[in-house]
Amino acid sequence: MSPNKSNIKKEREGSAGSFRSFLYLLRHGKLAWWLIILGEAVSLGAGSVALQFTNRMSDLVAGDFSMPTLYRFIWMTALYAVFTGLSNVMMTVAMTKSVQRLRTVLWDRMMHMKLSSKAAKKASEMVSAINADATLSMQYIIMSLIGIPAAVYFVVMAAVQAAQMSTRFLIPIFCLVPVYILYALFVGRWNQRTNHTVRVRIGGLTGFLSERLRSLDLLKAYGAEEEEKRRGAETAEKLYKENVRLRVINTVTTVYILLFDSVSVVMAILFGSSMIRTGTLRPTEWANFFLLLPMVNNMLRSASGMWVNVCGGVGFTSRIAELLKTPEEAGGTKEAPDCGTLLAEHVSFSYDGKEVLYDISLSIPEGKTTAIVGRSGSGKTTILNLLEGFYQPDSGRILYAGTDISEYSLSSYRRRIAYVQQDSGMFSGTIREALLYGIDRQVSDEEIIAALEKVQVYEDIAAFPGGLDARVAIWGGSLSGGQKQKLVIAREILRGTGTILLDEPTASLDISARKAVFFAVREAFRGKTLVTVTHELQMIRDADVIIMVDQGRVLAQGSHEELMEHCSAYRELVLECAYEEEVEGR
Amino acid sequence: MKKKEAGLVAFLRNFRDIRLPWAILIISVALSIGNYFVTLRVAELTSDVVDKSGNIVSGDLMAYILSALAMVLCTGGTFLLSGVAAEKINLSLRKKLWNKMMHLRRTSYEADQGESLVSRITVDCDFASTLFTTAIEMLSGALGIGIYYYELFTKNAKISVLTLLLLPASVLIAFLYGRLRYRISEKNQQKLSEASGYLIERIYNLKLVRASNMQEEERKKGYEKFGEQYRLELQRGLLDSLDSFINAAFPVISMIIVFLVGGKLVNQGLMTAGAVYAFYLVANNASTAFSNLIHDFGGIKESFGALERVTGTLQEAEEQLLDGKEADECEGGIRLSEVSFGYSEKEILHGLEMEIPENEITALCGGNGAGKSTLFRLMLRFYEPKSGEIREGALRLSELSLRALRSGIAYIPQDHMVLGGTLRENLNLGGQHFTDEDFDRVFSELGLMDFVDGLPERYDTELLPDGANLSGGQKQMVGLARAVLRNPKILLLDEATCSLDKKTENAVSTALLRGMQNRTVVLIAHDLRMIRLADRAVLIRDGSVCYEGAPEGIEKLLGF
Repeated sequence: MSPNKSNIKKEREGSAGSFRSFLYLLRHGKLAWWLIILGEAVSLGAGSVALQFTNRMSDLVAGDFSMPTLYRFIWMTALYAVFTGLSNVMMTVAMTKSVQRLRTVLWDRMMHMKLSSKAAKKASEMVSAINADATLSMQYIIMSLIGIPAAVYFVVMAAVQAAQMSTRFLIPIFCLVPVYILYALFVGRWNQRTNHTVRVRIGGLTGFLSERLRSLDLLKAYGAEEEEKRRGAETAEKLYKENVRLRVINTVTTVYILLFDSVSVVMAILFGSSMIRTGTLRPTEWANFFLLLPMVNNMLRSASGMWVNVCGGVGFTSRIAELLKTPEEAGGTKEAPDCGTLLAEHVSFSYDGKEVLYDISLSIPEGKTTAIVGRSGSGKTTILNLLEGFYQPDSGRILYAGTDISEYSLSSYRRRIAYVQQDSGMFSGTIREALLYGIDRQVSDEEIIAALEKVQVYEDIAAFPGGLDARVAIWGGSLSGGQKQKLVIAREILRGTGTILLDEPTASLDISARKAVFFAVREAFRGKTLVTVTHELQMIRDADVIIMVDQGRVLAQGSHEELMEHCSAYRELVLECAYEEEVEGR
Repeated sequence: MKKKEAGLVAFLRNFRDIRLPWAILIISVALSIGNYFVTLRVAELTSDVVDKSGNIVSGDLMAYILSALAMVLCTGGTFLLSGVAAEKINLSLRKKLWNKMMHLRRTSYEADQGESLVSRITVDCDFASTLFTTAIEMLSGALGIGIYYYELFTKNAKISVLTLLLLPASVLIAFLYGRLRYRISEKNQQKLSEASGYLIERIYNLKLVRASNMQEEERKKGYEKFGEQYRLELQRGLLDSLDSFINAAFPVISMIIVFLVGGKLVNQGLMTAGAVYAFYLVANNASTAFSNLIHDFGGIKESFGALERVTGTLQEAEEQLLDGKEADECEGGIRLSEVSFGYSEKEILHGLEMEIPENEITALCGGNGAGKSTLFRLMLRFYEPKSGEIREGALRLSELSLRALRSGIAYIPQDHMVLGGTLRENLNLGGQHFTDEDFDRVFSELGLMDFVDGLPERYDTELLPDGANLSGGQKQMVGLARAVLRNPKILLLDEATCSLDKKTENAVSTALLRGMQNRTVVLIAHDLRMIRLADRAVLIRDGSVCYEGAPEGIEKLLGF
């Protein structure tokens, strides 16, 4: 019972927040307002035509089948069909255009948001925000923006027309309004909530199934097929129960609506018949109202349905609003010099509320090779992220060529300091595109080939069909790990920055590729400031300066020999690395 | 078309052992047919009301109210019953499919990573039941159309014929339009997924974009992609609008015919206005029923795709767990002779020869992709070798029943070794019933009691799917304890201690191998210390064994 309750509570809190995020999206989502207004106008027009259409039809129903009436009727019918279709088209155009504009806003935000922000860490959520959420939230927003006013307009017009015939006709109309308000507020919500539970159940089932299917090897090895069958059946039954509940609720809502449909017709008959008997109403007028009431009913139904949908769109809008509110990176205005020493002074940094680096100070000498070593989780990659200006220290500062890096403009700073993340690879496209990514000068094929030869990957590339124009699959899937890494290094050679930060350039490679990449790195960046996070013994030994990091602190900084002598943690690390390399076989 | 029918037959055959909820389906059809008659009655009454210009007696009103109520109940009932029937069918099919998946061969799921197999159960099964419910809806819809048209003909044959003429035209248009739409949407889908592929790649690698100073360029490129997406989505949206326009057009045209022709008849005094209105109501219902029929037809076509996927999975070959000999007759070590194997055309193992002596510890060494884990999978018969054979003692593995073979082996895979559920459930995987004392004994033997004591509810602690609330090392502890609990004849360790910290790893592997002294152990070693713990070492390179012998030999080979 308790998880259920907390679920409901969460949803309530969500819906309060959702309205705010709804408004936020209206303000900042760059909606296609002109199209929306145009769509609104067409929809209002459609409403008026619908009213006229009802009037013409009531002439017929009341028994006037003269030719002019018939032609008026046909003409109105055609107009009605055209307007309905047109308002549909306008809604589609406004919606798709708004989605496109919202996407550009979101994309801008993603390009510039702070990488340490919460939103930046959830890549899959960003993808779904820009793909699915943008479409869904705009669908709800535009539909309600255009649809609800149009429906209200129609109902008001109908009420005015009914009142002109007899004020008593207002009674059935006003009886219907609370029915649908009730629907929008409760019945629809109820429906929505069950829908939500079903989605949760489907999520549960999906989670269960995909976990078990991933672990099928294990299940088979331990002969657990039978018990998993039972468990799978249980999970599927939970979903079944929820689904049946949803069907019941759907039925109840349908019956509720149909019932009031009939009630309204009965009312129209009752009021009408008594008034016709007393002679206060003409048959045409009565027929008019008789036809009008179901239409009012329909309009109210669709408006309340839209409102329910808007309430249901909570999740989508709030996720997008959160993304839009994410702060952007800010840099200074200074132009960064081509090279210089990198210094960290008393830098502390926390991530996700967890402290990662405690008061670290280190210096990276210009033109030398520095290795940052330590066990996994000790904060090595975070140091690189700070040096590149992806993250900002909570306290302390980072200096480049004697100036705090926050004073440099971001683009000039990053043009000087290259950063190759672990397994970052390259984007899909041709090899040439991958190599020239981020390079804004003209580069000749000779220069590209020279760089490829330097890292000894040119032979491989030349063997691809198309050579430099061969296509790289998504995530670099068509290349081996070693080739990918060498290409990345060749790319950095072509960029020619003074400082290069490398995060575990050899980590995911097999032994022979590791050696090759190591030599490629050494060859490629001779004389440059090179900072490498690595476990590769050869690379560590080769470095001019080694920084030993452990649990967010710098334990020691110095040459291999110095650290071997003074730092026991370093000695231990070197021994472990040695074992691992030996066993892989050469 | 012919191929599809074959698919349908195959699909229906899948339902042979599923009990369909016939009773519910029949009642729901009966209710929906009842609904047609009630609807006719309501139209009749409405026509009376119109003719009498609302000047009606209370008896009529009562009849109206009752019929309306009956209509509501019939609709609600049909809705509910067909819904429940659909869910029941879904559930049965889900269970059946899941049971099937438990017995799939590894070749059927290895490439999948659970992704698309999952959607077979969660998504495709829904479509399969729609096939049934829609077929039934179509049946009753066709009946309804018949009933309505019979009624229309008795009311007025001339108008009926005219509106009936619309039917073939609407069928033709719906058919042509459906094809057009399908073709366009297929083309768009490709482009749309390209565009979203671009976005996904960038979003997952924002740091590369930043580090390469490419924000501006990527921003512009993204805008282009959004423009492209916009055009395609607009196209799709407009097609949808056109669809609903076409759908709406038929009732409108039939309405115009009814009033135009009916009006003439009224003017000639052959029909009353109320009768025309009633005719309109019935014709409207008929055309709605008809457009539903066409819509259902489209839905059925859509479900064909899902149905083919479901059938495909259900027709995959199964592992037969019980076929073959029991294990007790086989004694001795494992011998692989001339084993060749590859997951695809490319061979990983070429005529591999290898001996795994009984009750000894054998360490497998070799670089990434040398085929060490593949050897384990062959020993567990997740795959059969392309050529050559594996023997346990005198018996070929292929002669043993899978159940017997696998129950004699405890296997610790590299990853995915913890499932959602309590620690107890995880340790008892495979229907075992170990006691807490057994658990305590094994964990303390392995020197891992601290891990258990550190858990809030010890063996009843709930572990998240994939062991998300455990560290990599802790997951391996669970895997190790599970294997040791079974006291297996053969233990296969696939880098089973690599995520433990060095100190624990040392202690655990020593304890583990001490406990396994009279057992056959094969371990994939990832450092020198593990190799030194073994009795023998085997080095695999380029798909065959290049060293087999004492561990010291390998060290020499490696250049110590």
